[in-house]
Amino acid sequence: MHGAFRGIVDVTGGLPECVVRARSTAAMVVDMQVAGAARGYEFGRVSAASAVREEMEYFFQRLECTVIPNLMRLQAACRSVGIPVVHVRLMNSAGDCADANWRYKELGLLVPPGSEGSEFVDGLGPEDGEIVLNKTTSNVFASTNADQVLRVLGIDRLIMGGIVTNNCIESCARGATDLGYQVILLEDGCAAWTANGHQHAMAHLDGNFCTVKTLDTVVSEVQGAYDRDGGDSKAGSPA
Amino acid sequence: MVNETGGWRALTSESPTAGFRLGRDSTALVAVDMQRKSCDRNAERGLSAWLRHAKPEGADAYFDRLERTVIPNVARLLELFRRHRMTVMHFVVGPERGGVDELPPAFRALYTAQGGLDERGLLDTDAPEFEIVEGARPIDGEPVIRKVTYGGFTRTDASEVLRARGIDTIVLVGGTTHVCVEATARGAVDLGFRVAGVEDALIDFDPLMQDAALLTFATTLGRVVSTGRVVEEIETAGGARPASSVTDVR
Repeated sequence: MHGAFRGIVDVTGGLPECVVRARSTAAMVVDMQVAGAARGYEFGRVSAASAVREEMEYFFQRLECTVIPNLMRLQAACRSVGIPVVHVRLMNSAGDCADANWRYKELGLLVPPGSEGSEFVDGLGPEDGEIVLNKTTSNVFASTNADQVLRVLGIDRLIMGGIVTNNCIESCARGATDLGYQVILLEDGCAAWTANGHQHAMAHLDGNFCTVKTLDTVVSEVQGAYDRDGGDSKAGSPA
Repeated sequence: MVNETGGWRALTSESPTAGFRLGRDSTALVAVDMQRKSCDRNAERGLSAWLRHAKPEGADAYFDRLERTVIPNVARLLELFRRHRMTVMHFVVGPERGGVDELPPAFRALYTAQGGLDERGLLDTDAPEFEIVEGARPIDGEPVIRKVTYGGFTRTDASEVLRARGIDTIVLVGGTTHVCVEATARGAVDLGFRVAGVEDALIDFDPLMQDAALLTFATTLGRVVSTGRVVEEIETAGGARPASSVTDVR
């Protein structure tokens, strides 16, 4: 039985082809913030106390060696052609995090507004004027006005990366898909606490809720989209 | 792969990661997509027909498990919840108004698949494949929510329906585990519901995907429970309203 199926993609025959377009695509970077993506901070400490302690080294190495550099390249490529970069992070509104749902309280996934944990990791913060969405749920569409913002911008497809692959990334991708967005997920632009968790999520998602691509492919599509569709006039020529 | 780290089976009743028990006052049974098109081995359209034609070796195991395990367990839980006058809600795949325009692009792919799914038949809510299978059918007063999404809480009033009945905890049964059930669970948790997945009342044509989804239930979304465990917790729950004195819970 194992190997006979690849998930619902076998049934659907896959999603319609989704490539980057200059004027209807946004990059969405999820939860690349100190609380979850920097060594020694809150979620790292939570996980260090659990059964996956020995695997956290895998997670941080993948972030430092692969995910963060790749998302920096993604952001630079998108900015150079005027594709909006949308920054999503977990941050409560209430100082005591009373607005967290029961599960987030139970798991200790609490980020007080303005706290160190809410800051974006070095190199991935928003540039002046870029959109920042503060969520309190796994799926950004469940606790922010992301849908309204993206529709106003004319966005119908998202390039998505960040953490954690099988948690917030998967929830955001599933949420976006159900709302009618087409999602390009960066295989080498996201990470889970374990390699298995990452691979399972990719298997769940690819061809089903989104199209999985590598950063190199997406960056060349971003540049190709500028050449084909034309970019934002204020953005200058692609790097 | 899933079981290298123990899998979800190590994380159920012995060491639940989510600390809640199932009570009678605010728990609902939520059945996902128990329709003939995916749960009846003789259905002429839908996942059932596709499995028979494209994956006959997997289809037998799938329908055998449905008939011997999943549908009987769903029926047992329906009886339990109804006997205690608790809320039961059903999701079904089907458009409110009809027409492929209603579907988001990814879901539209399901209906235009090369795999033998019949677009017209599945959008037709009068078709026999739309019906819920024997054993899982709703009774009068139980909400049946149509969706054209994977997640039952996206673009439906499911959350309002449950809140209006005082529900804060949902017990999920049905299928497909890694597709609509998991999407529905993720939506529910984000809305603040407590979620339990019933491992022997959930069906997936891909057992590996079911294991992966249940691991997510056990580690992230809430709890994995068995049918027997649900029965035990509900039957022994304290502070319950006596069924005989409750006349209008639904």
